[in-house]
Amino acid sequence: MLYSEKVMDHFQNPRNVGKMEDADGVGEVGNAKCGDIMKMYIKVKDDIITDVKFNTFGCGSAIATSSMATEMIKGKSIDEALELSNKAVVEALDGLPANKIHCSVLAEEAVKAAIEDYRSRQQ
Amino acid sequence: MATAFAAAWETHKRANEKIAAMRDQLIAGLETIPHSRLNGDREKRLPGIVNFCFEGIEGESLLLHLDARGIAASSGSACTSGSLDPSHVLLALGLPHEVAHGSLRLSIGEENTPEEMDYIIRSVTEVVSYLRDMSPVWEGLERGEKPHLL
Ligand SMILES: [Zn+2]
Repeated sequence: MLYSEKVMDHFQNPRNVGKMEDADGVGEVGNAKCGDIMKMYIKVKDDIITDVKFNTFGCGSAIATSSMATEMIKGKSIDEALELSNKAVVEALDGLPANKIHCSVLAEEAVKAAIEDYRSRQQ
Repeated sequence: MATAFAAAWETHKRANEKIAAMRDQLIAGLETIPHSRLNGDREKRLPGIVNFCFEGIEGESLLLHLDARGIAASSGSACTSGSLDPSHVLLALGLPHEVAHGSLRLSIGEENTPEEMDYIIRSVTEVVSYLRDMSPVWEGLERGEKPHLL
């Protein structure tokens, strides 16, 4: 497996890993190709994502992309976070092997699912 | 000639016994990990191969963490058997159930030592527990949302 140094760093020392008891939004998504499952928790105040946590069952790319995605949306507004693309996450990680790109799609979907859950709770 | 052969045979036998003892040590250690399973037939197995499944974690991340600790392992046989209940959360997502379990294959050679087996047991135990802590699949199992299969 050829992972970049950055991927290995986020895999070995994932940022924002954990659960959140008082989350304002929780999203859980899975992909059938690798079998990865990602669960993302967000804390929101005044439309800003003040805290993020994730739990992931999955391959090295799944864990690294979850970690990177949480870093990229922390402190951002809901609208900015919704714009996060898997491509941006992959670029921030200095790339992923071609057969692992689908794992990064999951990170984008997990962010969107958590925000969707947050919004549904606001209504 | 006959003596030389006997000596070589004796050496070979001793090596196999040493490997078998380390294999048994490794199996005994890994079996203490909750919700794990030894794959294959305990008696008829190859002397230097140990194959395990661990519920609730993914295989590649297990291998990568072990590699970082200097342990070269490979993924073992798929963790499926008649004992596995198909009602798992992953099946709900349209996945085959072997992906719900990290599988591990370790090969032991004559050059290995019992101390190395202890190191492997300690490392696998730590990595499995670490990965389970961050696994939403494991969380569901521990909460009783899905039954443990191993
Ligand atoms: Zn994956």
